[in-house]
Amino acid sequence: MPLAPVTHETAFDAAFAALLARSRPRLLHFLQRLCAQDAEDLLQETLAKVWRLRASFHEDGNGEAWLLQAAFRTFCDHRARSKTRAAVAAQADVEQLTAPMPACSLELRDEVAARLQALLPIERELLLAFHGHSVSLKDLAARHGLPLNTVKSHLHRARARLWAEGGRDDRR
Amino acid sequence: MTDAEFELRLQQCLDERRDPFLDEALAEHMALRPEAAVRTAELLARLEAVAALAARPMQRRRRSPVGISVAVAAMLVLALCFALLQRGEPESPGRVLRATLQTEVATRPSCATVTVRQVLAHERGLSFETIDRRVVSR
Repeated sequence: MPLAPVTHETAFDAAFAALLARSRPRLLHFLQRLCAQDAEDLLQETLAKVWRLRASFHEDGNGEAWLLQAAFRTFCDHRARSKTRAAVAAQADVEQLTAPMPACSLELRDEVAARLQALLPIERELLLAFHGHSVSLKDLAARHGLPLNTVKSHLHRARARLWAEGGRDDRR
Repeated sequence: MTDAEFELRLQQCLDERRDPFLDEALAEHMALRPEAAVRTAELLARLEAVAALAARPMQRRRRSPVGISVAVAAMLVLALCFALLQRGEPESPGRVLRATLQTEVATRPSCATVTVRQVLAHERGLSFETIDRRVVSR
């Protein structure tokens, strides 16, 4: 990103610009992991924002951590804006006002399919019904004849197993 | 917030179908721990994949080209048989050219299961037959 032109460059500005240049790859990588398709735009927005707020940066602090926090806040703002736009679009019954949710990659889908197979049948069924078919917790409890808290426990375990790094199954 | 508290609150947030990144307390925790933010994003991506997988059987319901071909072939055969019946060939004086009755099983003393085979049309080695299984009372 072309940083804001520094006409009366001070030593602080130069140091801050150097920090941004140094941290750029790490910030981009972080944003790509949060939101791959908008990472570049979010990076530009983050850099512009921190440049404007550079006076609040303490040189003796952890510069990269401060920038990562700023990048995360930018991502959250972007997500909130997207949700608001989607809600407005839904209210106005306007289709495709916002970009459609990106389709997940085939690799991820295959990995998730394999992990689903490793779940207990009840966990798999609840996870697919809740996240796949938007069945409410109450309806799931009634359908399976289980207490609501048991349904939640199954779901929590299923998500945790789906989430576990490298497909680790902590049941064993 | 400890990691365990974060995970519990995250699960509750998902139970309520809320976005964890828009939950103030979770966002506060993730802002200080980028790895927690990345892991949460990964979990949400996996849950999106679950939704995509759940929707997949619906797509499978579309008719396959093989099924369509079989249906078309069956319709052609039926049309051919119908045409043969309509032509009123000399060797097809009646509706049924030949019928055979075979008693198969006497399931109860009062009734029996029989198979009725009727040849409805026959021409140059090609015939159209019906095979009907019936339960008849004695």
